[in-house]
Amino acid sequence: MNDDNTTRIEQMLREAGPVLKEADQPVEVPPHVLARLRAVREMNFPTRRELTAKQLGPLLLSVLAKGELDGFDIISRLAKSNIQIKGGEAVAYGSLSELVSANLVLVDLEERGGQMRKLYRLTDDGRARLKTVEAPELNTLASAVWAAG
Amino acid sequence: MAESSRIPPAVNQVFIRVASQVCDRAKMDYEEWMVNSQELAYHLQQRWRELTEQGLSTDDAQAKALQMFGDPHTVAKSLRKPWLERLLHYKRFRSERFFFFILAYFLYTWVVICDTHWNELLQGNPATPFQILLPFDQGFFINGLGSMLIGLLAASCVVLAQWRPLFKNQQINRLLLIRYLPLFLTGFALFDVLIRSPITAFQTLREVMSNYSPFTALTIPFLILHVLGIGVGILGATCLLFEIMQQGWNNLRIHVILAGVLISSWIAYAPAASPPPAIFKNPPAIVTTNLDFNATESTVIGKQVRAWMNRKQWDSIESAPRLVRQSQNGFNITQFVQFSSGDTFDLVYWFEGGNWKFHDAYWHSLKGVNIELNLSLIIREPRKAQGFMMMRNPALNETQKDIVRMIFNSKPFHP
Repeated sequence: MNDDNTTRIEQMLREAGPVLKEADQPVEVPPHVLARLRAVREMNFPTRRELTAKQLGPLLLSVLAKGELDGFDIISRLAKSNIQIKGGEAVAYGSLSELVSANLVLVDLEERGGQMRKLYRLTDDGRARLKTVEAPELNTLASAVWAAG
Repeated sequence: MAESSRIPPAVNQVFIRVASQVCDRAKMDYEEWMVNSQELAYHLQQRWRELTEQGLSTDDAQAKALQMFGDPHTVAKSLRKPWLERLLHYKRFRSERFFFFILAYFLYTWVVICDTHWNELLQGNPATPFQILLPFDQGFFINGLGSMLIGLLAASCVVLAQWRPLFKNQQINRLLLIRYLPLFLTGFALFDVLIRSPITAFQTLREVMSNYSPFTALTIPFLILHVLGIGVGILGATCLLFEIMQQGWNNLRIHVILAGVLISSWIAYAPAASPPPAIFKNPPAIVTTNLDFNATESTVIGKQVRAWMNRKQWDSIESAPRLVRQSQNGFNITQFVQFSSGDTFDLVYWFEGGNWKFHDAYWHSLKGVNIELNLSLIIREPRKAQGFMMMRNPALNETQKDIVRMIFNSKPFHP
């Protein structure tokens, strides 16, 4: 969601706020506020979701099933897909490290621009694990993350 | 995003420091520290570049990048592996692994010394802890202080096996394969800690529990010592096993040697692990007679005789019988009752198989020997009293020792 959208929605919510708080009172909601609220409800704007390091594991597997990526690339794509990581974005490295320890993800070291970079890719075990996770939304979300790159 | 856009050295330094702090707090191993630190620093640099491209100033981009990165404590926590995994796998904890094994072996040694001492005592052998610790013989290395030397040597053998000789002359390298041979000793030590220790502890515990009432001042520290000894022992042995695994677990020689040691130790120790029961000769002076008291009472758990004994009109309180020992096996109760017969002979009766049995030869056969007795101990803990009596009366001859053993043996004497 871009900043303009955010500002607009925040403004609408600010306008609707006091009326919503008084909703229990027998006060008639002004028609222009109702119209604003309806507009907000129908806008279908993307919502931010916050994932913990544990919840991130299956999503990372699903994203890496689509191709090899480095840590920063994965995290950037997550951020662009409006996925926040609880505790900060670097916590994702902990999730990746756990997947590597469990032999679900493999690390390839690559030298680029004089710096060593870690490229993560899925192992066969990782693919097998992914098949056991039955969540249709996960694939949709992973596709969105992959496309955000 | 221009990967090559220059980052001011001051900003870069901050990023590198944060990445290093995270890796330090995550207590990473030597190799992963370097790679992960670079990865985290790279992340911060890229984020800074991205933010400056969006128009943020250098300082703002730095602050925003660090804020997005997250709290170093939280990030370090997510990167930190469980302590057991770190202890067993990490190269940086190599010396700790050896130390832990030696510590475990030290504790194991004392558990074994304790067990051996008590087993000897319960068998009626007048052995003090010092007598078990000091003699320099085979037992010294198995049941005594020598066990500690074996632990130290076992750890040294692993260090030797880990050594990689890189001589130009391949003949010498091949000859030095002999360094794997001392791993036999390591296997022996691992067997001791992992298998023999729990077995002997269990046997001694069973013996002690059958002779002393549970949860006394003795059994609780005994249990704590053994649980601690076995637990720490298993962890220490695991540390050493992982040390061997990391340095060449794929090496077939190590597999063969360890498997050989475990099998041969098992065969060698299997008979020794369960000490044979002491065989007591029947002293010739014993007179036994069956007595039939019809006045015993039948209860739901068997024949109860003590109440009957207490109801009898005894001449005096001193001559009234005392319950020396009671044991129960299912519904069968065996009770030992002791009283002074008035002619300075103590009689011991016991109820077995529906009959009262007695013999009066005990004290009579020991007459003339300056015996130090602790009657209250004999009544409460007969087998322990037997051991102490043997230790405190070294002048007893073999026949007298046999008699003492029989008096205090928890198993009823079968005439």
